[in-house]
Amino acid sequence: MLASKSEGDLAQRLLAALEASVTVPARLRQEILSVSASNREQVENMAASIVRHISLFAGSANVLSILMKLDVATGGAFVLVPRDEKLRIDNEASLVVARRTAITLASKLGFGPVERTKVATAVSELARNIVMYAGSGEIRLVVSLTPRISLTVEARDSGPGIANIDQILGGGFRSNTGLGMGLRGVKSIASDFALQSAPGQGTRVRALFLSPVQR
Amino acid sequence: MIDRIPILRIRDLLLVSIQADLHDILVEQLQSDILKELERKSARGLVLDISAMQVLDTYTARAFVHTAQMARLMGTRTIVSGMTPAIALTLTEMGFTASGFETALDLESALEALSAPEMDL
Repeated sequence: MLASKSEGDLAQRLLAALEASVTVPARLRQEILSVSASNREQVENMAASIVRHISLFAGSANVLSILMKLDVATGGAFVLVPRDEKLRIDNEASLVVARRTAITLASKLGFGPVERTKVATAVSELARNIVMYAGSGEIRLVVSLTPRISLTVEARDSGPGIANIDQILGGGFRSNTGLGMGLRGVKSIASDFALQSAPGQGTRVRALFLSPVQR
Repeated sequence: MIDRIPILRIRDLLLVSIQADLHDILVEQLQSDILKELERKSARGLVLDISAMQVLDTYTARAFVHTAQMARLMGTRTIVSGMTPAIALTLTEMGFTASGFETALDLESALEALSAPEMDL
């Protein structure tokens, strides 16, 4: 499908701004020129390719400043600059939104399909625990660009808390609802994991995901 | 947000293609719709095509296992098709074993498998 004229123009402006900062290989150039601004998946993949290229070519310390230039050049049409997100979790719909937001943000950090799925799955598990056990809570997605690009998922609630953390994370506990499997699963797909909870004290979970790009 | 996923019947097969962002109520609704459809008229096979799904967490994966088990009790064989490598890798790393349902690479392979004699699970 051909991109519309205005979309083609946007892509051209994006490419020109990127080329002003880094050398753009033919493959990435092609990807940028063929993207349709209204196709979420295409935009996400393009965002990921751009960030991966910048961090490999210019170093992750330069990612943010270059992305800002790209957003300025395109009038914010793609919103490439990654920002922290704070999401209130209190029902089914908020869970879906949280997953979606996580995928989009992860793509802006250069995460590939596997890493994106891991982050979104972690968000999904933690958000579901909040809805099921605490009723409501909050998930924050915290971006870090140096020394290495990463995304931290922080879940927080003031629910009943967990008494048998070691048992749950150690795999010796199986709830009918699957709380243990979800938390253990998040722990095993995250690069770093911390769980803080006690009966009556609510629960806080932190799961770190590193971008595959390293320089 | 949509509130139902359509179930297509092609001869004695049921086909469900999940295109939406699945939320839990939708999963439960789908489960009960499948059972109602099987009660109304039996089916030899059920294909759940998840090729459009980017995320499949352990809750939803378990729901698929339960659906497959219930369908099995009603004489129907379930195949989950189109799981992306990203989902397969994530579920595996999370310690979820897909022993509860059969899988196929894509919809076509799933339909082929259902027309062939059944493997032992």
